[in-house]
Amino acid sequence: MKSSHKTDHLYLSHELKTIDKNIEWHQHRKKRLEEKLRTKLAQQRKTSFVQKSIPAGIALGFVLFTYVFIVNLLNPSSSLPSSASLIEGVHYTYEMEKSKKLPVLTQEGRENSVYPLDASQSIKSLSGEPEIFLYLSNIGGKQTIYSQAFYSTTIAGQTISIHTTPHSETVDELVTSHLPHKKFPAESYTAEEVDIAGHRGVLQINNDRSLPRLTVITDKNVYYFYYTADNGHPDTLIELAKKFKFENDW
Amino acid sequence: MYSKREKEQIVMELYEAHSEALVKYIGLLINDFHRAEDITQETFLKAYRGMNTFNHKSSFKTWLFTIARNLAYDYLPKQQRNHILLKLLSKPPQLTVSIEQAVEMSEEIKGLYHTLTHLKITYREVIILRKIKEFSTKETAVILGWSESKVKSTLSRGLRELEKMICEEEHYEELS
Repeated sequence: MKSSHKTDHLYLSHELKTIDKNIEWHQHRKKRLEEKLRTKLAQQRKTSFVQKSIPAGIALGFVLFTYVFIVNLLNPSSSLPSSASLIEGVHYTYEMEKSKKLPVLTQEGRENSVYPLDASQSIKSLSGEPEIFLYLSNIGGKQTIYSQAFYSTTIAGQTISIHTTPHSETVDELVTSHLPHKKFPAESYTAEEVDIAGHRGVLQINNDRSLPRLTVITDKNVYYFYYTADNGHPDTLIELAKKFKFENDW
Repeated sequence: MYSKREKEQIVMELYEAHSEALVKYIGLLINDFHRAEDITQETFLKAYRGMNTFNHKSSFKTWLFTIARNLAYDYLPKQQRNHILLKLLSKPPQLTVSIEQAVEMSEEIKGLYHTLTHLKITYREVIILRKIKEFSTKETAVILGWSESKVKSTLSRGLRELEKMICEEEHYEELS
């Protein structure tokens, strides 16, 4: 800051105004926080529903417990199938990284995942195989699978990120929640429903077309496709999503 | 009264419009942009929960900044203690860095940013709102819960203090 302007409030005011413009919050962090917020809002909705439904839930739970108990008692071999479709040692193994035990997909796991490994062969703007990460949660003895993949593009620093979040809502509800509200439509972006290999999706495009985002909803998971840097093309997201092997949806 | 779906839609709209401004505001206030993201998320969740009690006397933006400021204050006491310790040790405060930088800051403003983080919190917050975020005196008074005259007088004192600190730093740099 120049000494000649030290006592000039106007100069200082001008300098202060530039602070905001000179701090850049990364767009991919904005998107990530947006997804976290959406998930939290969905949880809140469910929590308040659960709170209201506790008396009915207890009664229903008791009936179900009794039913399962009696069925198992009468036929011990008819245990309920496991919801987990990934087998440890076959589809994934654990590796130690910085004293943490992390699940890592095996080659068989990668090949049988929803993520296409050869997408770059037919989509020219992609480069190489994706990096795929797995997150397993075992809350309450129920295994929940989260995954994230990164597809490098031919533009330096430009990556397509896809992550999944399991859901327990109807596809209809989730599609509606991603489309513009009828009374309060978004002004900063447009969104339209798209068909992705028989699955319903919503393509969201900012007015400045800087960061398109695609959301695909299957019966089990929500898939979020987005670029980690500006100037990605929405058609590539759709093209890539159409190559996904949704029959392997975990 | 808004339905849950309507509240969600409004909150996501507000997020699109104001999340960046909030992250920067909180980050500047507490000098921690990672924590600022958490506080921003909590701000929108609180807005969702309180949507039906919002009286519309101020704009949604002013309301969000009021919530954010109150949440940031829950975090500040501990951070302020660290800040005092830093000052005692005569080390300039560092932009919080973890695995990944939450924000990029151009070199030209780093000096002013660091000086700002050394400023007394009441001065800092009124300067951020009035001079950096460019809220009006009335809006700033709503966000801070102060009278408009307090906003004006604190701003004036804050700017004087900031200038003084800049002069001292320049003097120190010249000596070294």
